[in-house]
Amino acid sequence: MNKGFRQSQAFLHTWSGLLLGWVLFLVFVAGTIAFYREGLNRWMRPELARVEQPMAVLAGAQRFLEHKASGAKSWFITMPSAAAPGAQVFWVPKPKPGEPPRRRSRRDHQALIGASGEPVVARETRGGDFFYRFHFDLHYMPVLWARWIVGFATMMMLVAILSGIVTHKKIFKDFFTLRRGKGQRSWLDGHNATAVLGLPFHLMITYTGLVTLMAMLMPWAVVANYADSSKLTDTLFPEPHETRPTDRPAPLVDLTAIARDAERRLGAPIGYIEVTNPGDAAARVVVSQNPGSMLSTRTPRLAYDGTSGRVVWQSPAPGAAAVTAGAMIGLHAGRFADAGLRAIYFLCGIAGTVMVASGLVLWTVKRREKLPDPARPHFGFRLVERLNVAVIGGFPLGIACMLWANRLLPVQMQGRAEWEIHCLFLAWAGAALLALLRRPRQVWAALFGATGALLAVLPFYNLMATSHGLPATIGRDGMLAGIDLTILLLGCGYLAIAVRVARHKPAVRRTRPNRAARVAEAALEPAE
Amino acid sequence: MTILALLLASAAFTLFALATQDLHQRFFRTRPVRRRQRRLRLAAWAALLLALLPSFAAKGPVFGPIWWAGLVMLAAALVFLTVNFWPGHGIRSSRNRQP
Repeated sequence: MNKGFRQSQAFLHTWSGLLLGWVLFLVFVAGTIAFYREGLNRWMRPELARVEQPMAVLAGAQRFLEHKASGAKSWFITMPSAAAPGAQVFWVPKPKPGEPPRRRSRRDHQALIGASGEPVVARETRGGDFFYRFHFDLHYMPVLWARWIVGFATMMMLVAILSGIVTHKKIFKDFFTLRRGKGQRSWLDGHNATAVLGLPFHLMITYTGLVTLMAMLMPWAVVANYADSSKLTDTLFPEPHETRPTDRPAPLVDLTAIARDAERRLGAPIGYIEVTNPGDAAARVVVSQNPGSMLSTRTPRLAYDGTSGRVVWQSPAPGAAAVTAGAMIGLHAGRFADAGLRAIYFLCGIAGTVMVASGLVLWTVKRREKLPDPARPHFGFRLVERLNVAVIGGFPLGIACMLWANRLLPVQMQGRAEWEIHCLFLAWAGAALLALLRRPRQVWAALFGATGALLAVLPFYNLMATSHGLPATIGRDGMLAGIDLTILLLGCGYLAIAVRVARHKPAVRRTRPNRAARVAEAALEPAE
Repeated sequence: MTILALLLASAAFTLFALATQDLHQRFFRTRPVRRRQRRLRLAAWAALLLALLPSFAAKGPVFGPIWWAGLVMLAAALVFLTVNFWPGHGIRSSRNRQP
């Protein structure tokens, strides 16, 4: 291949990877964890029992809402299942005439119906949903900015993957080669291995990630075809005709009967139930299929008359483009994945995280050998080196602290859910400060060691302080047991890395590498 | 069926691995001639494609290919780790012994 072309691609690969690598690392870590969003939602509320009889919980949700929010404009119920902590319900009160519609906090109008069918009070936490949102909304900043940043980083990721394939064209041939204990060569082999092993996943997840943001990143197709954006929404997400309340009270039909009928008609479990004008003669129940039951995220829906229980509407079959986009988003989120495939998604996510991290470290490893004076590197080098420590070492430590905060913060605390997240960022800020003040090698070892210790001890804390310790969950509740085991394993992994970093003795650097060696090196590895 | 697909994919990557100079040297003590290398690779591709069948049979036309892709990556990882981290191997690589 043309050498000039490959070199230009190497340049592209280096800089597209470096400049947004830190954002990508965060996105990869959060996204990987978010594959277990539902599991973490349960893991982070250890006081809740598992839902064994979803229909009984749904009946409980209806009882609760009829009592608490009979005159509401609408109710939303997530269909409970063994995978969810319970039935999450929230309602929108009727707007009072003469009062401007106020966006009240959703918190005042929501409840969680537990396995017993009664509303339960669990510790306030964002659970796994935090990682899901952080994956594309980040935190402490307007959502739109965050999505632009993440969207731009994703584009750079695609550039980095494609230019990486061109640059390191030997990665496929040398796929099985891992030269260990050889400094830069080992880092490169590791970077390549994690990249090539997960290449189908990396390409898929990056491309479909762009698809999830496509309407924001490239709005022109929409702008050119739809003058009225509500028309686009109607086309993409068709709704049954809205009914006006008649002010004639009529009892709402039993929702479990509707749920059973919908599951029979759809041939799949249902996901959400929305009731408009409950208790009114014009009540309407819209049921949508569980997104975990199919690839596309555009799930079919059925509307029922709320007093007679007859089907009055069903969503039209979506167009080919909508199905394509829906399937891509579905592939990205992996909601359909069962335990085995979900584990593969998770492992691929870890491979991607390691790929980004090793790529970032590689930037410094490569340049360290060429520094004119390794004792006093230039500012850019020090900046990258320390940012690497702060992000790659600090963010996982923050997550470990957040998981501990979830266990340790007092249950009655005001704004507890937010404070769990503040703990993540406080710990991360502390780690970043440490990375600025102390020498990188010490900080690497300290951060990895602390993360490892925190994670490895957590399952034992669960064993002592909650009723969901490993002996109670193994064999009975695979999800919770799996999360505990994964945390234990990751903790041990971090500890092992910390020990290796602490023991590592940097090779004595030749101050002036002889020309022959440099030529040999260049021949082995022509482009970056 | 899923296990069968994983076994086929693992076999495929084992063959790919044996087709490389280094690993052929390590396991057969000889360097592969070009024809043998090509045959090994061909067999590997065949096994990889063959793994599609049990994936489809187990998971259907929509999720079959997704499973297949996932299992292929898993198999590649397993072979990669075995080849490089099996005790006593891995560190020695014939390439490094060359002058």
